[in-house]
Amino acid sequence: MAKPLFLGIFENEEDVVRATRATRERGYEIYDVYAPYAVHGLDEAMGLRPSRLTWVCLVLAGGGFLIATLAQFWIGAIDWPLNVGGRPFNSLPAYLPVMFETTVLIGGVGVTLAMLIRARLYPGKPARLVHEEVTNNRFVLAMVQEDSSFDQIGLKTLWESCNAVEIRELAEGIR
Amino acid sequence: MKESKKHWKGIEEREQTTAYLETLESEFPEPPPRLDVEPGAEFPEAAVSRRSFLTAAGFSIAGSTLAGCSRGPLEKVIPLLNRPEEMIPGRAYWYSSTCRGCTAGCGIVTKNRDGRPIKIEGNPEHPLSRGGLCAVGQAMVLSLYDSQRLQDPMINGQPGNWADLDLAVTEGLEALSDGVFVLTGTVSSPSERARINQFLARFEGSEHIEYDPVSCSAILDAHQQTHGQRRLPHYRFDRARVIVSFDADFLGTWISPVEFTKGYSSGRTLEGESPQLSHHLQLEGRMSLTGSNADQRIKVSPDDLFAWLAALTRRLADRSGVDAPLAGPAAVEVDQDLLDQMVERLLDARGASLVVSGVNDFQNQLLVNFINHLLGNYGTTLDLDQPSFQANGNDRRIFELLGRMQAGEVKALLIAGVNPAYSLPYADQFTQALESIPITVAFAEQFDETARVVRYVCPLHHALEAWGEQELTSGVISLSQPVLAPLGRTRSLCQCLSSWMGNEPSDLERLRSHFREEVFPRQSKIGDFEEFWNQSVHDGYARVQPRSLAAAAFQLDALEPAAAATLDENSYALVLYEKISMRDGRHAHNPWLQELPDPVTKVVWDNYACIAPAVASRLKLQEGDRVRVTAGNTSLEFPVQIQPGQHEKVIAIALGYGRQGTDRFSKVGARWIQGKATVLEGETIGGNAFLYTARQGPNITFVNAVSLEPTGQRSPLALTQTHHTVTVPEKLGGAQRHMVRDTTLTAYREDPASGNHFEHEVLQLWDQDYVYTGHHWGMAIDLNRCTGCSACVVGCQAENNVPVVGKDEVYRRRDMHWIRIDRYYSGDDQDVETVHQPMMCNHCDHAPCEAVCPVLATVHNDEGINQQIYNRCVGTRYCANNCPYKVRRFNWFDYRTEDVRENLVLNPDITTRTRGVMEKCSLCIQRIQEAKYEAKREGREMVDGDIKIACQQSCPADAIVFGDMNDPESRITQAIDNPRHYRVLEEMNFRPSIGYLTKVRNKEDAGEGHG
Amino acid sequence: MSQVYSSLRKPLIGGHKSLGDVTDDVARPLERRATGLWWMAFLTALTVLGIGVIAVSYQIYTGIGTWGLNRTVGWGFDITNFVFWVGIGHAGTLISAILFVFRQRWRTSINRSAEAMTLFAVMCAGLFPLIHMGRPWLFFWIAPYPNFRGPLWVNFRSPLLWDFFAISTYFIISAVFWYIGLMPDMATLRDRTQSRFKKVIYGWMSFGWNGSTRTWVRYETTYMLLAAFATPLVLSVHSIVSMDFATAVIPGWHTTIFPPYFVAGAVFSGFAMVLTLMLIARKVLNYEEYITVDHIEKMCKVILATGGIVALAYSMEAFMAWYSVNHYERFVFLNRALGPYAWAYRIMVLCNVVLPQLLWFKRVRRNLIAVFIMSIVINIGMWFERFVIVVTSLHRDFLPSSWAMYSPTIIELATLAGSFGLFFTCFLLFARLLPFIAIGEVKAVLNYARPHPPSSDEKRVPTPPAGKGELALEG
Repeated sequence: MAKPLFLGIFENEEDVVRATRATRERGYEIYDVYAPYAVHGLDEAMGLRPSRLTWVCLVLAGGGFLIATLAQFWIGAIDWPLNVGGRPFNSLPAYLPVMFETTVLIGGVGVTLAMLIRARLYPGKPARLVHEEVTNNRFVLAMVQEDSSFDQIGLKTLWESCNAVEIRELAEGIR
Repeated sequence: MKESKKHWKGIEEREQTTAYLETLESEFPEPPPRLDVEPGAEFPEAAVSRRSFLTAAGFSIAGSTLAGCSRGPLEKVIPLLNRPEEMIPGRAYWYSSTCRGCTAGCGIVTKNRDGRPIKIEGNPEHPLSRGGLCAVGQAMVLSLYDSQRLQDPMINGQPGNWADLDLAVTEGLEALSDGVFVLTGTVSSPSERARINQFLARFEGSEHIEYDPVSCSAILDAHQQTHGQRRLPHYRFDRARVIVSFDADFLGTWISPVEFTKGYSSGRTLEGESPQLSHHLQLEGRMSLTGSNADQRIKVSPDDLFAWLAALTRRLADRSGVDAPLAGPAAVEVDQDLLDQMVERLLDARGASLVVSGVNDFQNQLLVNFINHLLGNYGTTLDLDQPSFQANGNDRRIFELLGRMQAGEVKALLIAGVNPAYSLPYADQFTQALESIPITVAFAEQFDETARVVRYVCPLHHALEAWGEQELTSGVISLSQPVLAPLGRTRSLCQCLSSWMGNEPSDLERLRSHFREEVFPRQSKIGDFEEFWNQSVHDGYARVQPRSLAAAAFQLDALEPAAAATLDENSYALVLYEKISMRDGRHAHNPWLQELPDPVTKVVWDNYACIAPAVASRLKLQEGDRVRVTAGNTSLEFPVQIQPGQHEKVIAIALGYGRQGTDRFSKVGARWIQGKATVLEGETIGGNAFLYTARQGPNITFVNAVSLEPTGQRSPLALTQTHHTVTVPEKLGGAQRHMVRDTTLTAYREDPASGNHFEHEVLQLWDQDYVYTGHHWGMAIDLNRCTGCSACVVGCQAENNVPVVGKDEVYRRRDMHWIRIDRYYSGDDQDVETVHQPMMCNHCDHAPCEAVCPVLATVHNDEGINQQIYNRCVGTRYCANNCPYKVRRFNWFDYRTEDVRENLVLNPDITTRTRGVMEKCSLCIQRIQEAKYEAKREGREMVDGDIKIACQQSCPADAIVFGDMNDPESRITQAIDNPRHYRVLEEMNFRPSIGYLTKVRNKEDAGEGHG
Repeated sequence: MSQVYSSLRKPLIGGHKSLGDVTDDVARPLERRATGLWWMAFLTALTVLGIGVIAVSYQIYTGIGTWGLNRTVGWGFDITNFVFWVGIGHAGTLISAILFVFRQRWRTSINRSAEAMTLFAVMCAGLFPLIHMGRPWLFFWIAPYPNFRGPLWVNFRSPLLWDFFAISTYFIISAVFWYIGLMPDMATLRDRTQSRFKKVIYGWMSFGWNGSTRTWVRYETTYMLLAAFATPLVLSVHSIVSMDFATAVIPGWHTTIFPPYFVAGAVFSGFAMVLTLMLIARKVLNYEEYITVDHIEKMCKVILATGGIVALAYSMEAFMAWYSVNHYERFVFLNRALGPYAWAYRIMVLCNVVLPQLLWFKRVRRNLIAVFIMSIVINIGMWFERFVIVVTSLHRDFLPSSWAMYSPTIIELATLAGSFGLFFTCFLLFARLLPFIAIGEVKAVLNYARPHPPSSDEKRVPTPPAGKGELALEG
C-alpha cells in the first residue's frame, strides 16, 4: 500500500524543472515527476543516477557476438566440415556478417526487454495516473507525504512561486 | 442327398452363359494385364501387374542362364513365380544386338534392368561401329516404349486381330497368281531376303523392291555402269589421308555415319610420334555437320557442283595422261587455285585418298568413280570386292513399280518398314494408285501415312523385340536378339510371310537354320555350331569369310559425256537434307530426337528454310520469319533460319518433318497461362520436304529449283544458342574470347602448344587448397576429334533421366540437356570456320556455385565431383546465376511425363527431379559407384578405363577421356600433360576438372584462328 | 534547461502550438470517421494487393516457370523488387536512428511515419526471396536450426544466408524501435479517448505507461541504444544485400564498390519514397504545420547528397571497368550502355543522375509539386538501377553460347504491383489507426527556438510565413 502523494501540477517544462530543483535544494526527496514527454534536465534536477541499462546491453551484445562466432566455427569446422567450393572449413571472413547481425539482434531486443522489466512495463498493465492530463499537457511533481515534519505550506508557496497551476493531494499512491 | 451340392462362383457360372464358357477356355477369366495401358493410368497398379513384370523379367533370366554369361539369346519365356539364383534384381544385364535406327546397322548392347531395357550403347567389339553409336541409336530405346506404337493388326482402318487378318490376306493371295509386289527398305539380311523371295516364288512376275527414302541409288547405278556390278563400295575413311567430299554428309547422315566417324577420327590423331591428320575438303552449298568439320570448305551451289567435279576430273585425267570423254568446257568457271591445290593433294595421296559425293545423280557419281579410279583408290579406300550392303535402294525400280501400279498390273502390294505414302516423290500418285490395288498390306510400327491408306496393317516388332541378322558388309554379319517380350501383339515381317505361306517356324528357328546352312560354313574358327551360335549371339556379330565378289575392272568407255545443268537467275537451289535426329522421318515420334538441337543450327522441334545471310539482308528477313518456298505445284511455308557459310543461291530444308500424328506432342512440356503448345492439335511438326523431291533421270533428286517469297508472318524458332561467335559484337568492343582454341597443322608442327598460349596469373585467396587424397575425377575433350554429332547429348539424356520440356520451354531458353554442344563460328558470313565444344558441368575445385548455396545443396565430394543434392535444394537459382559456364539446369515446372509406358525407360539408378530443383551433370556418379563396387567385389584396385561415363561411351569419335587425375598412368593425366590441353576460363582460377584439347586444322596458312 | 533562442532560427513546428494542440492535432484524424478519400485509396490498394495474391498463388501452384526467367537469367523481377524495397526501407531507419544519433531534432515530425514505411517496405522486400524459391514451402531450411537429420546445417558462406539474418534482424529491430517510440503516444491516446473499446486496446498497447520520469530516463537510454544499434545495422543490411552480387563471380556483379554504392542508393530511393508519402499525408491529414516546407527541403538536400554519391558510384564502376583491363568487365558496361537493355540503362541514368540535379535550385526544392514529381522519378530510376544490375549482368556473361534475353511475364508484373498494394494497404491502415506523428517527441521540440513557452490559454500568434530564413541543420 503506497503512501499518499502531494502533487504540484505545472503547465510547462521550465516551471516543473525549476520547482523540482528548488524542492530538492530544500532537502526533500523527490518521489517522482510525471511528464507527457522526456523533459531534458529533469533527471539531474531530481538527482537520478544514469541508467545502468547500457551495461546490460553491452553484456548481451557481447554474448550474441560470441554465440554467433562459436556456433559458426563449430558447425563449419567441427560438426560438419564440408568442401564447399574449396573454401577452408573455417571461413572466418565469411562468418562476419552473421556475427554482426546476431550481436545487434540480441543486444537490441535484450536491452529493450531489460528496460521493460526494470520499469515494470508489460502489456495490459493497468495505468495508474497521478493526473488525468499527465500524458497530454501537464507536468506533475509528486512528493510522498512523510511524517508531520512534511511542510505542506512551504512547498505550496514554493511551487506556486514556480507558477504551479494546481496543488492537490492523492490519498493513496500509485505504486 | 440325390446329388452333391453345387458350388458356383458368380451368376455366369450358374447360368452357364456362353460368354462364361468361352472364358473357361482361356487360363485367365480376363487376359493378363499388360504394360500397354492408356497414358494417365495409375502406375504401377494398373500398368505392370506382378505377373506381367515377371513375364518380362523372365526374358533376362533365360538369357543370363542360357549362354552362361550375362549376354545370351532369349529363347524360353518362363513366367516364373520365384526368382532363380542367376537373376539379381537391380543388377544390370547387357545383351548385344544390332541397331535398326537406320540401315547402317551399328552394333549395340542394351542395358536391362529388372527385365526391361533402359539404355542402348555401342558395342565396343563390333567390327564396324566399334563402340560408337549415334544420337538416333541412343534414342531407339525410347521408341520401344512409345505408347502410340501399333499394338494390334488393323483391317480397313479398324483394329482387328491376327486371325482375321491372316485369313483375309491368305484368301486374297490364294486368288492371285501374279502381280504381287513387296516393297521394303534396304534389306541387308540374307535370310530375310530369302524369305521374301520364297514368298514371292509362288507368283508370276512378282518382285521384291528395295527403296531408300533418302537414296544413294546413283552410287550403285554408277558402279553398275563402271564396274559391272550394282554395288555400294565399302568406304574406308580410316585409310584416307585426303578426303574430298562433294556434299556428302558422311559424319552426319550418309550411309553409315558412325562407322565413318570412327574411321575419320582415327585418321586424325595427333598423339604418337608422328602426328597424322587427314586433310578433309568439303564442297557443299549448305552448311552440313561434315562441312563444319572440314579443314577446308568450299561453298558451291549444287548446280556448280558438277562443274567442279568435271573440272577436277579433266585436270586429273590430264595429269595422269588419260583422256576423259567429257562434254566441252564446263559452263561454270571454277576457282583454279583451289582446284590446283585439290589436285596436288589428291595426287600426293594416290591410293590413300577418297572422293565421295552425296549427290544422288548418276552422271555425278560416274565422275566420282572415274576420279577414284584415276587415283587408284579402288581396293584401298573404296572396297568393291567386299562391298557394303547398308544401302541397296533402287530408285529406278520404285518408279517402275509406280508405273505398274498406275497401269493396274499390281494386284497385291506389301509395304514393309518404309513409308512411301510420305516419302516418295509424287506420293499422291502413289496413294491414288494404291486405292485400285485389291490387296495392300503395310508392315509398320507406327500408324503412319502408308498405314493410313492401305487395307491391312501388320504391326511390326520394335528392333529390340525381334530376332534378326544383317550382313552389313561382305563377311560382317550382325545379329539382333529380342531383349524383352513384345509389348504389343506384334510380329516381324518374316513371321507374317511364313504364316501366310502356311508354315510357322519361329524367327529364331529360321535364323538358326540360316546360320547353320549359310553362315557357319563360311568360318573355320569354331567347329561346333551351337558354340558358334552362342558365341555370335553373345558378341552380337560374326566375322566370316567374305563372299568372293570380285568386281569387274573399271570400264573407261562407260563414262558418259555430260554438261553441267545451270540454275536461272531469280530462283534458288533447294537442297533437301537429313537431320541427324529425324533422318528420313522415321523417328518423328521420338521426343528425345525432336528435342535434340541440330548440331549446326541448334534448332529443336522444327524444320525450317536455311538461307544465306546475304539473302536474309536482301529480303529483309529475320530469323523465324515465314517464307513460301515454291517448286512447281509444291508450295509450303517454313520459318527461315539464317545460316552463315551457306551459298547465296541455296535454300536448305530438312527432310523427315511434317509427319502425320506428330500433334501427339501438343501436350509435351509445361502448360500455363503464357505457355504455348509445342504443336497445335491437328497440325504437324514442321513441313514435309519430301514433296520437293522429284525424279531426275533414273534417280530421285534431292535438289530442286525453287522460288522464295516472304509471307510476312512469323513463327519463332526454338534455339538453344543464339549468339554464334566467341567474339562479342563489334559495337560492344568486339573483344575475342578464348573458350575455344584452335590452330593449324603447320603451326602445330612447330609448336604443339600453338594457339594455346595465354599468360595469366591466378590469385589465390586462401593459403592451402583442399587435397584430394583418393581419386580425383576429371575429363578432357579433344576438340580436334569432336564432330558435334550430339550422340553424347542423347546418351546423357537416356542415362540421367533428363526430361523433355517442349518447344516453348526451349524457346524460353530452358532446355534441360546436361551436356550441350556449343557451336562457334569464326570468320565472316561468307566463309566460316566452325568449332564444336561440348560443355557440361566443369566440376570446378573452386566451384562458385557451391559457396553461394544457402542450404548446402551443392557441395564437393572427396573425389572432386561437384554434387547436386536434389532433395536438399530449395531452388534459389543462385548457383546457376553464379555458374560461369551456365551449365546448371532448373526444373521450372514439373516436366515428368504422365505416359506410364514411356516412363519404363527411366533409369532406376537416377532420381527423377521434381519441380523447383536444380540439376546438372554429375559425371555419371552412379557409374563411378558401380565401377567401385565391381572392383571391390573382385577385390582389386580400380584401373584406368573401369569407368566409362555416358557421354564418353557414346562418342563415335572417342573425343572424351575420363579418369582419375591422381593416377599418373591414366589417359586423363596424359591428356592434361598434352600441350594442347587448356581449361575454359582458367584465368579465373575456378580450377575446373574438365579440360579441352585445342582443335588443329590441316591448313597451310598459319592462321591464328581463335587462339 | 531552456532552449537556445536565436532570431536566425525559426520554430520546427509552425502554428505556435501548445502541448494540448499537438495531442489534439495528431489524435484528430484517428477520432473522426474515415474520409471517402481514405476509403477510395484503401480499396484501390486492397484490390491491387488482391491481384498480387492471385498471381503469387498461381505461381506457387503452377511453378516458378510462370516467371520469364531462364537458365541464363535466373533472377529478374524477384531480386530487383527485393533490393528495391529493402532500399526504400532504409530511409525510415536513417531518419529515426541516424538523425537521432546526430541530434537532428527536425526528424521528430516525420520519424514515426518513416519508420512505419520502413516496416512495410521490409515486409514487401522479405516477400520476394521467399516466393522466388523453386520450392517456397521449404523456406525454413534456410534457418540453421538443430535437427535429427544427422549433421545438417546451412552454408554460412552464402550471401543469401547473410540476407536472411540481415533482413530478419533489420525487421525485428525496426519493429521494436518503432513500438518503443509508440508506447507513450498510446498512453496519451488512452487517456483522452472516450470509447471504452479503444481505451482497452490503447491501454493494453501502452504497457501501463504513466509518464514517470524514472521510466522516461530508462526509456531514453534504451531508445538511444537502439538508435546506436540501428545506425550500423541499416548500413550493414544493404551492404549485405549488395554482397549477393559483389561476392558472385559474374562480371558486373563482382564489384567492391557495391556496399557503399548500394547504401547510398538505398537512402536516395528511401527519401524519395518518404517524400512521396509525406507530401500526400501532410495535405490529407493537414499536418502542414508539423511537416513544414523546411522539412521537405531538408529531405531534398539529403536526396541531392546521396544522389551525388550514386552518380559517383556509377562513374567509378565504369572507370574501373576500363581501368581494370578486364575485357569481361568492360564488355558488361558497354553492353549496359549500348546492348539490348540500353533503354533500361538510359532510364536509370536520366532518373537518378540527370533530373535530380534540378534540386540544386531552392525554388525547385520548395515547390511541392516539383518535389513530388521528382520523388516519383527517383523511385522509378532506382527500380531500374536494380533491374540493370541484376539482368544486364546475367544475360550476357562469360560464354557467348549461353547469352539470352529476359522479359517479365504478366505474373511477375502482377506480383510487383501486388507488393505496392501490400505496402499502401499497410500504410493506409497505419495512417488511420496509429498516431502518424510522434506526439511525445514533437512536444519535446515544441518550444525549440521560441521566446516563451506556450501555455494552453496563451493567445495564438500566427506562424511566421514559410520560406523566410534558412534553418540551420543542428538543433
